[in-house]
Amino acid sequence: MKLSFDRRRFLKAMGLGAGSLYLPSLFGVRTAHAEPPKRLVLFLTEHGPVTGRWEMRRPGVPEGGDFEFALDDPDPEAFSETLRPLHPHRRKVTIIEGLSMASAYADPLFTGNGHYFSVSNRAAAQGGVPCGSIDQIIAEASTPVAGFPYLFYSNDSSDFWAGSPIYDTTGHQVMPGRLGGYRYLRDAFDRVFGDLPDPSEPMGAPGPRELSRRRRATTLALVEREYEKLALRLSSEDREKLGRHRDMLSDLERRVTAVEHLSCERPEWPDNDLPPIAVADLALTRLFPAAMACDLTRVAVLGAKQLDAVDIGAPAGIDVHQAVAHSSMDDPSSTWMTNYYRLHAEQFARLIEAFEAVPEGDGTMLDNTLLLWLPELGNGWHDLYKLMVVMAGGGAFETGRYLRYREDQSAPRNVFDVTVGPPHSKLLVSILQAFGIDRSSFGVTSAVARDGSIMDFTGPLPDL
Amino acid sequence: MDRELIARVVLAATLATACVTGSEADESLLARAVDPASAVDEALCDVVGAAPARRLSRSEYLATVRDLFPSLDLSSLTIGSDPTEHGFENRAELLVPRPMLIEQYNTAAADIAAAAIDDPSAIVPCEPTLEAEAMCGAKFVETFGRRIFRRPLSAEELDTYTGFLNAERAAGTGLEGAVQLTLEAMLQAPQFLYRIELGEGPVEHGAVSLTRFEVATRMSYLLWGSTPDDELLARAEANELATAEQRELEARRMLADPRAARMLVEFHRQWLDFDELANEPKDRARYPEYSADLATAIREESDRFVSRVMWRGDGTIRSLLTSREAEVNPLLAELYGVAAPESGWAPVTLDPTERAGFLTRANFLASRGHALEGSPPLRGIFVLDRLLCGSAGGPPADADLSEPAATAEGERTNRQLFEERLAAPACAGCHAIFTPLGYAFEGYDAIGRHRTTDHDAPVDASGRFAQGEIDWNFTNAIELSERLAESPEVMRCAADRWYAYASGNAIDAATRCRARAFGDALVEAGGDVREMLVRYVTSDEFALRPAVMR
Repeated sequence: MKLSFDRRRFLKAMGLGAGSLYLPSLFGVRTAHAEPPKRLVLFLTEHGPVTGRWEMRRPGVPEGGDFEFALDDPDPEAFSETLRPLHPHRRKVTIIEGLSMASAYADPLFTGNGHYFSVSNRAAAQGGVPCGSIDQIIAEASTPVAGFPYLFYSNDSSDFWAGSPIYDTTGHQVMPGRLGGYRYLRDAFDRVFGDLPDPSEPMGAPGPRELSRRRRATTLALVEREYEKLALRLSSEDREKLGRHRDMLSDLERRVTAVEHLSCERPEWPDNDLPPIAVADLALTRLFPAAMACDLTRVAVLGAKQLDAVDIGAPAGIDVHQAVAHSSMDDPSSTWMTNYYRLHAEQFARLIEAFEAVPEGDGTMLDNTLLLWLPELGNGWHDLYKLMVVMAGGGAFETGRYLRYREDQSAPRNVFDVTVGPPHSKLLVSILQAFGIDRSSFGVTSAVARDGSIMDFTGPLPDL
Repeated sequence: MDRELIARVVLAATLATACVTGSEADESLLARAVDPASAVDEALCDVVGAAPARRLSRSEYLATVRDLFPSLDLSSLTIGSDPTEHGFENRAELLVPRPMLIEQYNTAAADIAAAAIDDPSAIVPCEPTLEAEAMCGAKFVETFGRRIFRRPLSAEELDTYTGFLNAERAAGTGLEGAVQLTLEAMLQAPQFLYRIELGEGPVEHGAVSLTRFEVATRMSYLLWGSTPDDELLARAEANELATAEQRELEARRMLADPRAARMLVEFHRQWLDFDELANEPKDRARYPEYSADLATAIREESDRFVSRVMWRGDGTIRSLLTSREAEVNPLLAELYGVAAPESGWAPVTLDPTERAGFLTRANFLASRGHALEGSPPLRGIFVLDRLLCGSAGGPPADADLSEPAATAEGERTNRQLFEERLAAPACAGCHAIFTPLGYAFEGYDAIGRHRTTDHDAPVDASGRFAQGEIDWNFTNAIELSERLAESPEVMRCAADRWYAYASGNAIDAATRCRARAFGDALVEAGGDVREMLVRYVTSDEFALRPAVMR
């Protein structure tokens, strides 16, 4: 099929064939740690998969109810057409069907993706429901000494995801580790790995990088003191604002100086201005695993850019948003959208392989890294139920399973008359708990459903 | 990304309360615009406006470094964009530090300092010999520091930065290297990145006077969106900004400077959302002429129009909404159906039966249009939100937000398609209020071309908008623009927006008095915003800030 031929040729051109994920020499540093840190990678994709073409069934499993089965069938056809690329990794993944973002419907100030990861939003936060996003909370609990609390890489032009998982507990937008847009992948590598020792610089005398790092540290130290001195003369609000600025400077200074002590090689840097699929592939298989292998970050988020029509077998120039995603209930858009999500499944498979390729302790880096793939919506329309969730690795949850949750709860008032499954906030609570963060709820805790009952958004996801 | 979700985010803030039921919606939708006095807390009218530390917004930062280093090419600097409120990017409360930004300031400071030191004579005010190096370094700190910090450095600051420079010099960097590092530090210092007003003198009625240099800085960021020039700093130094007359004299000098045009363009860019155009791609088959060059020209026309009408022209809200003056290049001339200049840009007068002010220009029409057709709801909401300061809220979470024309079958006009779509009970309550404002623009397609027919039927651009004391009937966008230009509600709304922009504060019960004073000044000035700004600069309040509560 032409589509896959193009892809293979393309990946080869990128140096991204299956065998070239990484230079193993890069990862020696990790084995020095007795207890590897836990890490999180979020892979966020636009629109949603096609309902009816991604789910899986097994003979004898009742429709409509809760069920679970093992992903152990060696026949690739046992996987749905959308998720079939994950079949080789079936024992490492957990696939969840039936969750809903019911809390978003209950939120009159719903802010789309921002809600997904905070079960809250900025306006709500200002109104007294403060809630950071899940990646921030996990990052705060586990920031490496050198490097970034988390890396966040997304399409810059529309900045879709930028409004998403990046609200802090005071409702302010923050972007630690926010990397530039899709066009600037090389710059992102520069930012993350630029302070690592450059093998092309001769040993002995300090090279330009080294000098620049020292210089930055000196000026940063001076400027930090200026913020401290000035803050004393200000109102409490302004003092707080400048205090935060000072803390961020000191964080930058720490990073600039600490990187000297890392014994970790830089990965090969790609070019800027690559096609979107290549950017996502390189972020998932090179930027993130390398940064994590160097312990430059423990949380990384990719907000994937919308795929191009030609990538998914649709006519060039067709509006993927309106004419494909929004029309994906019917063919041919349904098939194009299925191609769309199968491509992302292939990317998620390569993400798994990239982390599995890095030895760590007695196993691989995958054992200590939770990979989480979340489409923005339940389908190509704007439904926030029937969500697809795919997880891999991490050692937190039992893998090799398919879980379906029944959809029998009355939904909040402003949803059309449908019943929905358990709220996604429970999954986030389970993940927080898996990272050792003691939370029994996250964000909005309840809402009134259409039938007058109270929807409970608290607690972990049962049976996970 | 799903732009519709974003649109929903933007609009959701108020619908939830405004549009619960039809009658409630009627009352609350424009309550603010129709009767602003109702929400004024008179007890707060004597309180001087808050003066929080304001981080330079992205555009202020870029304008500032351009003005400080006019000979450098700084086009490659990367500074992240700021969060907005009502389109404005300079709300003090939202201009918080962010880690990414701190890194960008760090990199930008290094890049600027490295470029600046290529020509040391431009920033180092002496010819250093080895003996005089220390003195030369100190002089640099004193003179260039004054420009960067917008005031003379305190004795302690002189010590700090001169000490740093000398230590670096002694460590072997040489004078130029040390100057470079010092400059790099200053460009990251709070005195540069934040506008901090400490005030001085006795507390009276809870307020203190700004220092003379703080007054100068307030003036320059208000009137230029940038740092004071040497002349303004000299006036501050000579204590020539103390009286209303002195400030008026200086404000008029500043308003005549091209930097004032830059500020006026900047204000309108944010207020009227000039940049949204880039997010609205057009159908190539339907609009083959809509090239990247045409889109760029459409965007640029907005800047040129504001500069022409609001800076060189009479500066009134009326002209903004009704002027037929334009500047066009050959591509735009074709779109507007006027004689084309041979090349470049030329002033023209547009056909008064087809075009009036900003709302009938291609940028607004295309940026509030979909791929195939204009969007009456988006155009209507723009008028309601941006010009009337009303609030429409957003559609329910599961509303169909796609473009009706994309899936329409049969020959129907864009208006008919929207009327069908919006007839659903869940939509009709709110849309009946503001979408008619958008129907006024049915005489223009998705890229802003004028049209008299739509799908072979005559265009129907008539409508009625009735809220509070407003009851307007119009047959097209020209008439609606006239109504808006005459409207006291629009005048008040513009004044509110100017107040928010000038002060960096939100409009709330505590600030409404002062916003109202802007509105009064604007009315007295016959709608000329430049005169309104002069009145503000010469007011007592301009030179005060509340005493700091530590």
